[in-house]
Amino acid sequence: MGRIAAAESTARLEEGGPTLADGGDARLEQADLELIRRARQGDPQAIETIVRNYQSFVYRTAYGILQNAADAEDATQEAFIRAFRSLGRLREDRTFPTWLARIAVRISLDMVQAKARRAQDPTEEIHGSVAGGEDAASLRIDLERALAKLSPEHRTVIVLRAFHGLEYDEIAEVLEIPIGTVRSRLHHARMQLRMYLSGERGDS
Amino acid sequence: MQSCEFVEPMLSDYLDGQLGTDDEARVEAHLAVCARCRNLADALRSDERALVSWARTLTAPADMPLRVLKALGLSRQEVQSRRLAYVYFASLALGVALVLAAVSLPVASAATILLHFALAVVRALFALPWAVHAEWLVVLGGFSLVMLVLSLTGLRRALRWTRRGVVWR
Repeated sequence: MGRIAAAESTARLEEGGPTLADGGDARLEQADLELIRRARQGDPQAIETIVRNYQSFVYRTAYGILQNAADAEDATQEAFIRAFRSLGRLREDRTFPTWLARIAVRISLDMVQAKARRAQDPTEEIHGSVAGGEDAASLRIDLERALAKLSPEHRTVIVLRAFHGLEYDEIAEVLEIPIGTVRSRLHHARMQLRMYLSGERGDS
Repeated sequence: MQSCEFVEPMLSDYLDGQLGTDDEARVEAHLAVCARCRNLADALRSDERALVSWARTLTAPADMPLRVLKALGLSRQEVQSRRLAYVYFASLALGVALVLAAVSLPVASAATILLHFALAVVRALFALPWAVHAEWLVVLGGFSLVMLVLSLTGLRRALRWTRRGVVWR
């Protein structure tokens, strides 16, 4: 179901393919459009299938931004609920993946803000659970710590690009920002992440 | 040759294949001779790979579809209990409609009997304090009231049960 749904299985880095912005037609197949149409009428089976197809995408987006499993679960659930409740307002069914991504990002960023207002340190929980250990696990911990130090906006572009492999124009569409901003935000986010990671691991 | 200050801001775009051919050639020429920028590019690439493989380990809870359906009031249990309520009220309406139809059909003698019966019940109910001799009517009225209460309680129980029971898995 398009790049967003397929993102989890995509092995990529420098990989081409159609974009959300200009290749929308090829992106969602007829069966997917039919699912969306049925979901709009409140068909529970269609809704279940859509959630199943997109839950990894939404959850990973939320986790990347929120850095916490419980919050990411709440954000995922909330994003789907909001999406299905306002599905009637979605004009072009083909834009569903971008639209859903936008909702997920917005909810996650709102939750980050709400958390910041309650003055909680997102890195706390991560720090608490570290006990050295295997390479993969410690790399993951390093990544989480470094990501947590980025601003939510920087985390968001990293998540959309690195987690899901969205193209720049797709990210621009999801975040509703100019493509030039995506470009510079991504650059700064990556350089900062690199800086924090080299600090964590003591390499260059 | 380009300086590091010139190339560094282009690395992100370069790794994403977002540069034009000229800029790409410039960056590559620089990377060929500058170990520092080459290391940085490699490190950025491996960060990206690490992020991708980390993202793959993140999985949404398996019951997410159920949670969403529940929150939307569309879970199978809720749909079932709603259906049960529909069936109950539909049969109630059907019953009333049947009685009314029977009553409004002048040809049906059964209907007339029914009408007389219903009228008798109503009259008996009104005349209850004075019509002590019609005890059977009182019994009948009481019986139907009990039946009504029982059926309503049963419906409520059934609704609560279907909501609580795990029908989904």
